[in-house]
Amino acid sequence: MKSIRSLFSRSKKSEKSLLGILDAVVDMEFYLDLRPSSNAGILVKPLKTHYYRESENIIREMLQLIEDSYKTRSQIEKDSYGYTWILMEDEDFEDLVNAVYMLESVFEDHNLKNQILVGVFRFEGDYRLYWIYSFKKGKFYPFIPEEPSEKKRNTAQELRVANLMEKILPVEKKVEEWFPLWDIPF
Amino acid sequence: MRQRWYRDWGLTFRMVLTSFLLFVVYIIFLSLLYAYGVGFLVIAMFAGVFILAQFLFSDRLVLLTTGARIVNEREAPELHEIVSRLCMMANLPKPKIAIVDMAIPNAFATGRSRSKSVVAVTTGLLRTLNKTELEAVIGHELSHIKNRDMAVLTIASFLATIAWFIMRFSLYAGMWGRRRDNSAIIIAIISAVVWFVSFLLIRALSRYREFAADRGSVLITGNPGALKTALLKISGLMSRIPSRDLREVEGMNAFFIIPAISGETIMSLFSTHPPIKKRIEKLDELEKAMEGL
Repeated sequence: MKSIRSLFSRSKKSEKSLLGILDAVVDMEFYLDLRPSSNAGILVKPLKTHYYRESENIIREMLQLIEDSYKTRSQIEKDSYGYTWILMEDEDFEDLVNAVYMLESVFEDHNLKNQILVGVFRFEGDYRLYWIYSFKKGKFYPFIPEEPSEKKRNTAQELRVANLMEKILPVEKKVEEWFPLWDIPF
Repeated sequence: MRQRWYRDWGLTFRMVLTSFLLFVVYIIFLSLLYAYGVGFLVIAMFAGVFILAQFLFSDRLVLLTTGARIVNEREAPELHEIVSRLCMMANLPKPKIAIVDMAIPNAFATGRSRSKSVVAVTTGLLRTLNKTELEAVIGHELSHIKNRDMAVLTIASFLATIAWFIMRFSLYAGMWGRRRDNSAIIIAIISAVVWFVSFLLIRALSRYREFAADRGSVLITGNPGALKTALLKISGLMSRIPSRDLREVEGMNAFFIIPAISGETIMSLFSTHPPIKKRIEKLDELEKAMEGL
């Protein structure tokens, strides 16, 4: 894993923030009874340019490379907003996080940093929690959908989770930036 | 003397004005007595009677000024059930329950002793909060009763009054001994300073009792999160968590040249009272401490 990761030049700061989710796993289970699922996703805002379409091919190649090396399966889906989801699946959570991390690097290396919005990690317990990671800010925020059809979320529990995890995870302090994603496809 | 759940200015103004006017009437009366040559002992007795009356009747006065209506078990069964249960956990006699017909979510406790207390909630509070949050708020009010905050603050103001009087009397004695002409003004200034300092001290004490009641609520309900969200809802902070989809918002930012107003600005425009923020910070710490973090 180290060898491929070292190929991507990254700033220390962002490296720390995304991979923080790995440190949070133990505490998430211990304090909140939430375990990481084998699913993650990256939300991408596509561009209608030739350059973007070319880059997309590179991303597909990269996804194939990741699957060959780490057995992280992936697929690309369009959603109703015209955004692209890169959906990834791996029973090994560390591999899953590293896959997201590597893709972020690919986007960055191709000057498409602004197109990659958030990385989403699903946790399961008595309820479903998503940690949404903003690539731009390098921060996480929790999202617990209750009734997506009515746009209802469990803000009380989100605040609790954020408070308990803020020492381990870089949590977005401004709650007005905790934008939901109502139809996460996993 | 009473404790409020959350400062809203209409209610606060009415209550502060009431107690201020009471205080003024009381000072004027005692000063008049002194001016007409009534002895110190008699004045001290009058002061005692005043304080006692305030202690005995302030709860009824509070209920009158806020328009709170005592409700029985048939009228508010759920409220009674919550209060009974929490009282059992807090080892308290069950207080009377009152409802104030007011849209602003708020609650307060009043009464001079544990057995003669009233817990009042506004209709706005009942509408805004869910059951666990309501429990947390009532737990806070019951903690005020359990900590005897009404008595503590009455005694504190009594001590402040005594300090004020001693100051006045000793100054009068001193000034008159030396026959100064502008003595009255100096006396008035020093008395005002003494009164102001004790007023500040009482405010600080009362703030400290708020934090203590928050802790008490958490001890009774075991749920710091519920009190926190209750505070967030009451203060309107809760509605800052968006329900609009990220992709909609992103689209807007791309569309407009000037980016959508940032959270920071919104916060400073509608900035809430710092005490709520402080209380939430303390509850956050408590929540972490309870999990051993």
